[in-house]
Amino acid sequence: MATELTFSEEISNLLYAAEGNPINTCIQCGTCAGTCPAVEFMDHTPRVLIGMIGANLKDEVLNSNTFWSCSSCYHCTVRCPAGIDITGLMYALKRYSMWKEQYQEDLIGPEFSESFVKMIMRTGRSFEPVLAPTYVTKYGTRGMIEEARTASALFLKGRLPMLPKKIKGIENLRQMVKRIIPVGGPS
Amino acid sequence: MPVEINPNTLIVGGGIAGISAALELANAGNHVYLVEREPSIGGHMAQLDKTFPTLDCSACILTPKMVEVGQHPNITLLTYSEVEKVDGYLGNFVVNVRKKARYVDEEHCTGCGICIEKCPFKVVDDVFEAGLGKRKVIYRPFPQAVPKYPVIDTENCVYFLRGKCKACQIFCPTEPNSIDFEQEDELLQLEVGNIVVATGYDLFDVGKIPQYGYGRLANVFTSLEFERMVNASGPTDGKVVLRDMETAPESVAIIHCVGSRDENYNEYCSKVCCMYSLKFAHLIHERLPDTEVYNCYIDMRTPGKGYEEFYRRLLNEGTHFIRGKVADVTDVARIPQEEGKIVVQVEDTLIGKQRRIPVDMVILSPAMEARHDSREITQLFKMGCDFDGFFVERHPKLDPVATMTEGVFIAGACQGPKDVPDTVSQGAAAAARVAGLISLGTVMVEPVRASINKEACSGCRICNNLCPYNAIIFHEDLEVSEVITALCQGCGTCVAACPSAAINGAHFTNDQVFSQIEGLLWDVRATNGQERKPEIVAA
Amino acid sequence: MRAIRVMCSGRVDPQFVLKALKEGADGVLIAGCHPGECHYVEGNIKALRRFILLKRMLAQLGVEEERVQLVWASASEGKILAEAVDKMTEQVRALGPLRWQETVLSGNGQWVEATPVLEEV
Repeated sequence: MATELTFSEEISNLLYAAEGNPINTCIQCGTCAGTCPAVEFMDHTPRVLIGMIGANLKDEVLNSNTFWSCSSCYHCTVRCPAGIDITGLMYALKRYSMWKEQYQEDLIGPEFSESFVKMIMRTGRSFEPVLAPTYVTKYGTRGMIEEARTASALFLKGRLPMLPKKIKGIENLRQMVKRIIPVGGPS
Repeated sequence: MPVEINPNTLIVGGGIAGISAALELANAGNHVYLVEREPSIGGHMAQLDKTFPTLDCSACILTPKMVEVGQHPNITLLTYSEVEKVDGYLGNFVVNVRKKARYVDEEHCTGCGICIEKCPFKVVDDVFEAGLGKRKVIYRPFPQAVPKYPVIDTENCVYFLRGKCKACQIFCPTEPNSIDFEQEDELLQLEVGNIVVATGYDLFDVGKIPQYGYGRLANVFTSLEFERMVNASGPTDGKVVLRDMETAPESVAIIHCVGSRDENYNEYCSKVCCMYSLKFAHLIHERLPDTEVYNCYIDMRTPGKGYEEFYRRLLNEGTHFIRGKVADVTDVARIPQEEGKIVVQVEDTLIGKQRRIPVDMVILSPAMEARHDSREITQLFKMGCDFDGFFVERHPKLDPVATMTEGVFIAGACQGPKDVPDTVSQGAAAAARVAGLISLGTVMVEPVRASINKEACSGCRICNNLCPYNAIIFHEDLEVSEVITALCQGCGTCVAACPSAAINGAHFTNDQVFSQIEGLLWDVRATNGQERKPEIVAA
Repeated sequence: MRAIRVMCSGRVDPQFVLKALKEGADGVLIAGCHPGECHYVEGNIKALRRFILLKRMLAQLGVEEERVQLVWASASEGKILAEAVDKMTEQVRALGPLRWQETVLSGNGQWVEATPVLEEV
């Protein structure tokens, strides 16, 4: 019947690249949502999100902020009784959402992730001055002043270089990352 | 008070519960009468294809047991028979059984089946094939039937309707001819010491829930229909097909809790439906790997050895599980994808959204119900039955197979919804209880019993109807009532009711209770009429 | 509280209650299993029927209705029984002694119209 992959199959396939069981083993117990420290920032709990993936509610899932609010603490993954890598699922959804260029407006996540990954691929290191513009305006003038204060303090102590440094063997890192993480849309 | 136990046992019902009990008792060297209403033993289990969670072929594990029953020297098999009357008491029951006429002489019939082959008429088999297949008018419910003798269905037989045909008799190769149109019902009287009632269950009539569309939408099936369909020896040779008997479904919805967990029908959880619905999903995946299966459930109830593991297995197989009781099954399409499909409308309670799932086939998983005639059965054997019609055990936890009537035991789904392993255990447990009584030979029964003083009895018969055990009989000739001591349980209801004080409740006689009251109150009586503290007596 | 054991509440003959009252008891509590859970199938239903009749009769004799009570308390419900006994003790204490001799036998008791209890059951 299904020659074209359904949304839930696409997501399951993305998860197969990581460890853990595919999401159809979910018994909807709610352990993930119960343990999640960031659940109050999410519009759907991780359990509901998995349920919605199973129901192929693609637009609702991609427009949710759940996976962008995940802080990657892995609490849910450790406790999941069905062995699903829920944090991995959250990353999979982030990637999928960016490939499809479909995500909630005014989220920091997509832009931040994109510039972060590009930066790592370019230099192999995190470099805050490049990342800062993606989020620094979100917290108002006061937030910006505080960020600037922290940055200048770090700069004076020599902890914040003017220009990003590249790591040795950056080419190897790029190839490794490409091997580990499926890049590009599944379809 | 000593009562002798007749070592013979009557087992009513030839399903897996009755078969288990019969074999346990017979193998222990006791004689057993196994009475079955249908032409063959086997019961519901014989209709099933696979048994969860191990997916053993049902027939493969059941038929050897059936054959063993059929050939056992200690078992008298009375199929196509019904119990009509039960008299007597623990250790000494007298049971009347009507052995309905098969119109086939069991003594000479070899079970060759030529009569079945030659019979020119076919009718829809509502019993064994659940209406999906056909059988001849002279028939054997299924090839492995025990006993092997066929039965003539007189309601459809042309000879019985119009007086001609006799094809079966003409082609019968035995000498003398085994087909006997003159055969009459046989009335047997059995003397037994104990009775095991294992009459099984009926399936809930899914037609009572019109919104599920059974009967209105062709491709809505009951579980038993699907069970026969998926059975390799069933009417479709094990192919999963729609009602047209050829198209394979591309998507199937299985609806749990049909007529159970619902105050409008049955309040109880039917216990086995989740598991057999999972089994169906697995069998569909096995036969039709590309078919999508949706299981709509309220709660997934899989308590039992290997059951939850089976559920996990189904999750891995990619069955879609939707938590929510199905509201509607309809063929009215709202969007083009629903055209020509059956739409199952359900709330997915886990995401709080209504879903409409277009499928080709719907399987309803109806509840197990008490037999439609279970109340008559309780009267026959003087047992109790609960509101749902299931027989009441003596104690729900500590005495699950005995009843309030001594010498009458229950086993299997007649006591409550039950899967095969539980049913077999209960059959064996009932057999053990019976075997215990038989090996004692004589048992002492509690001496708290009522007795009627014939001189004082006025023959008013008030006590006759009061007795919950029907232990009081009325002698028409003497115009007095009498308590059958072995049936009496000593509750004393009749003693309190007798207007002529003719009934004596041993150990709790009126005089004894009066003396107790006097004794208890001797101190207050002495001060009667004077100021004193109030006292309360509890009875 | 003084207890008399019988096999089943169905065994309670109204005579027992009258006898106890005559012998000086100020109240009688009949305790049985819950309807539908009778160990002897339906003895408690029979007890209920008799109890209703007995209450009408006692009312006519001038015995207050709190003096004879029926409570459903199965073997495992000791607490329910204890509470019922406590409650009834209080009620009967408030009524004071029965004085069978004066109230019933000498006809000093007020003639009380039979209360239509049957409808309530």
